[in-house]
Amino acid sequence: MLQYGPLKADVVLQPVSGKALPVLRGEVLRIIQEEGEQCVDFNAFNLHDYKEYLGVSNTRSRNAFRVKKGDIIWSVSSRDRPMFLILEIAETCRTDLLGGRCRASLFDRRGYGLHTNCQDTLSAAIGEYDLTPDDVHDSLNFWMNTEWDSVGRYFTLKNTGRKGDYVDLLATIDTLSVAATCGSGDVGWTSNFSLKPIRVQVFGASDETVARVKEIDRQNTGFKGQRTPDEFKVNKIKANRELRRNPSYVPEFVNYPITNKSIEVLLSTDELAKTNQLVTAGLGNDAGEVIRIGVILWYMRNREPGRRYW
Amino acid sequence: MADSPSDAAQIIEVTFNQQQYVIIEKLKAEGQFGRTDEEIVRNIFLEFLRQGGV
Repeated sequence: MLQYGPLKADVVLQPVSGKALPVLRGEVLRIIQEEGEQCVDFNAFNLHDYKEYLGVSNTRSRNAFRVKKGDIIWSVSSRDRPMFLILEIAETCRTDLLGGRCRASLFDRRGYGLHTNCQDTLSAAIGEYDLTPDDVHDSLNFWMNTEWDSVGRYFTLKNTGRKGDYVDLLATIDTLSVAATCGSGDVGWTSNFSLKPIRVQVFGASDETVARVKEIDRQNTGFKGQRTPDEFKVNKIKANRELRRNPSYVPEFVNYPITNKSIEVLLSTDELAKTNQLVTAGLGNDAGEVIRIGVILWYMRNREPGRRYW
Repeated sequence: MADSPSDAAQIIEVTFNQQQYVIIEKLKAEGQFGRTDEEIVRNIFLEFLRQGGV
């Protein structure tokens, strides 16, 4: 386990509340189960540019439907940078990247009237930094025991969190980190039909945490598409809500137009027979397509760095 | 490494778009699988078959 710096903040979040805390590059955010069995919704923003925020779908597509120890939590695809590394996570902490966040209408529809919910809790917490309810984003959910089946149905199982369980997130950029006690858990298995407090702590940076951040930077930054707003064709944040067409705007699509190059390949009768077997098997519609797919699959398996699923 | 078809050969036209063609250029620069587009595509495809295909 890495040596962290000194404790900088220590806050207990009573149900149902949340807190926005700056967690700077190299610092560690710890989220603790005070009593256990409490789902925690988590949002995060670049402290210096709120338009860069935690990208749940980006994190999901880069890792899995759940994140685990050692996984990187990424910012939104427009920036595509590491925001956190999961340094430690309790075995009982099921993570969820599918559920988004609960909102009041879900409960009103079920007959509960105005009920606690993460959209409103997170909105209230980030208001301290002049962010609006529209700035709340889909949550990375900790201790949220969800499952899905082969036809895509999604459901919640009993919360498995135990008192004292914790998650440690190493910030790789300066962040505003927002944890919230999920407000849905008193009327479902999300938090086993009761609402409990959680504790949030921030530890300062240390030589070891900073070294780990630099290693993450070295391995995960510098790629095309990891843009800053300076590189955006349109980079001014809109100050009004109405959408109006800009008649002088000309879009610049990547590698547009797509063009093709033909390459003639000589195959023996035997090689062509093997190729046609793959056509029959459904790899492609004809021999040329099978060859193209075969070349790309070979490259993916033998040359692409970090490729796990081919 | 570069194989040549030993019996009656047939020419197959294979198309790559400019993004896919980046692979061919990289492999050409490596030099291990040939020096021309035709050699690269043929030899990599045969490697793909040798490795078991799909």
